[in-house]
Amino acid sequence: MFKVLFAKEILENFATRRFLMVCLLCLIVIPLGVYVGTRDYQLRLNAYQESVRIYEEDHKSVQDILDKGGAKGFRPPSALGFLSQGLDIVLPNLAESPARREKAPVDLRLNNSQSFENLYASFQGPLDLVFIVSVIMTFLAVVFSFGAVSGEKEQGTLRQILCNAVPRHRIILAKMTANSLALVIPFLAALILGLLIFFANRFSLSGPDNVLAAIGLVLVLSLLVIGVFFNLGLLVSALTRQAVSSFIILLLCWVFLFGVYPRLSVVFSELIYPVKSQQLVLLERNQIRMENEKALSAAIDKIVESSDNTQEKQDEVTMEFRAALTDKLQKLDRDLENRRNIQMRIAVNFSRLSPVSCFVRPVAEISRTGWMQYLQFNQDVVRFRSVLNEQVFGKYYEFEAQKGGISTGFKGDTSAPTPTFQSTRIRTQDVFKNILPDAVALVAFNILLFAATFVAFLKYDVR
Amino acid sequence: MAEQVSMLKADDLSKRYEDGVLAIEHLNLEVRPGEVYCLLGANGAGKTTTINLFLNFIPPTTGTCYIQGIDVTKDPLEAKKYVSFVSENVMLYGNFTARQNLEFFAKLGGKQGLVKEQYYQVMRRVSLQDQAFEQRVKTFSKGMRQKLGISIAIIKDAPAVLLDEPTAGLDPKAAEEFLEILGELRKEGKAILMSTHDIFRAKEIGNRVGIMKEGRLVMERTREELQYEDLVKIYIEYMKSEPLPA
Repeated sequence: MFKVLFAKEILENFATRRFLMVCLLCLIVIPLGVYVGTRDYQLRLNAYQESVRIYEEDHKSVQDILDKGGAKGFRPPSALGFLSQGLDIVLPNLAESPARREKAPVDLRLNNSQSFENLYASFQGPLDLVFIVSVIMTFLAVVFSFGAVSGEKEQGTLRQILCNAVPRHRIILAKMTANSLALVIPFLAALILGLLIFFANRFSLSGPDNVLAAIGLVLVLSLLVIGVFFNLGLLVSALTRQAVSSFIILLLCWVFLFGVYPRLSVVFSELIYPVKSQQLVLLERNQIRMENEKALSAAIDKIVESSDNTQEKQDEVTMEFRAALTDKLQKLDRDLENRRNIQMRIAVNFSRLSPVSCFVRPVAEISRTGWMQYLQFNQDVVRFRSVLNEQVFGKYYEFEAQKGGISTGFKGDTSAPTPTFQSTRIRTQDVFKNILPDAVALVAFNILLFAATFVAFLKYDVR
Repeated sequence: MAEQVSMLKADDLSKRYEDGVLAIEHLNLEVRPGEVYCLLGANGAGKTTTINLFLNFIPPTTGTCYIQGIDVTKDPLEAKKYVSFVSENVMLYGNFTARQNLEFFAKLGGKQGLVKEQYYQVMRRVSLQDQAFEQRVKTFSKGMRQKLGISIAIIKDAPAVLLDEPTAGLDPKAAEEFLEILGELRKEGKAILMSTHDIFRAKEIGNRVGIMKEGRLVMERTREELQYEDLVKIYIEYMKSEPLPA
């Protein structure tokens, strides 16, 4: 009996213009998105490699760092940007020390050196897989499911089926499997075509350590989020008597889950756990610096007035104040970062009530264009800063020349090779751990909606 | 000769909807094999509700429906093996051809392994033209769809047939053809329960005619009895009479 119902659903779905349109849409949009993403990656990879090459040619030794305007660390682009551009375009991709000679401790400034090829594209957002799945495929899932029950009831064919000895659960199972196949087959076919385009480009892959595992994970999440909207469509269809009512309700649900709720969750998190603005933090930093300078001057004045006034003593006190200043600034940064992380976690947890959010952020993390990438880059920068302070700026010193003015010195070998920035790859298992709650939430949504649809259809009034 | 067992039986059947409307009240009727039972009544009299109860589309408030002695509420899947249904507007899959529709519903009715020619034969039997067999149903007229609906009932070969105003909206020729097919089914020994507004055809085809008013079966006559009575007059009198006491 299931086979008969399944075959009918397949024939009904596959023989329609709707299916043809979906095939065309998927086969055009997905490979195009992959092609655009791959081309974009190639351009950014070239820019990254060129920047690194120029920097390395110019900065062969420690002396070059001191003379030619500071040290730099570059973040490589992720090869999986075609899956999700995520935060990549707005996150810093360059860490640089001050251009002038400075004594330790030196802070690294984070910058975004990415140029925009087409600024207008920023208005529209990227055509990455996240967009295709979270907007196009979820909407198509609604289109494929809104009339599955209510449409057939309206058409009158459901009565015709149910006057036979057909168990209702088989009808709904056949609808679920066949209708979802009608949607998933074009998607998978187009995705395979897109991946062929991606792998046909024999460029070096930067970003994830295991590209295939990452793509596999994204595929699973894509199917799960499509499944959620498909099951939601079936549920609403099984709760309404008219296909048009079902479609309107689903459209509202889709708009809310896709566009409204994820944004609301950010607002909730900001209300529940406010974080100081960047400007306020900058003001606080300046305040701390000024207070430190004042205190340092007062301490130096005291030393000058005392009988113990030596250059060494002044240097010692200056170093103490500088170290205290660094501690305070680092604490401020740490506090800010912690508060931002907590706020982000609150937003992420709130947003998990929307299946779209459970898909968008994890795919960015898998593509190495998300928050984890930002945190990892920050950690790499902190490590690079320590190395620079230890090997370069910590050995640099200034002293008063006998003829007056300030002279500089370096307690070490200035011809030593430049410390290089090490970009750490985020391991796939760490990403998996991070996105596990989202994957579990998507599975739970599917199970709940599936069960609810099942119950609703068993009780559905076919008259 | 032993009395024939009723194929369709409503036993003290009542149905009150959630909004409090009493659609059927203590309905008792039976249809035996080889018999056409016509249910007459105004809109809202309870004819369609009776059929919905037999098909287990809605549960009865009290009483029981039996198909071939099987309690429809207790074992609906088993009961539905013995019944076919043709509605006022036979609704089929518009993008499927007539043969595809027939094949699908035949398989649902438990008729597996039939070949194209067998489907064609059934469609010929209901006078559907050959060129329509492989045409999409969305191009069909109402009469053609009704014919296809009855061919679905025929191919299932169930001993009981329920018809809910099947000739409504049909032109006289199509309605006549439809009744001819019903006559053939009766000859085959099917028990047919048909709700209709068409008093003349009810008298023509029915072995028994029942009139429903406000959910109650207020009159029942056999074909023989109706030879000496004017069914139209009886029907109008019942419709004009005072509302039934609660």
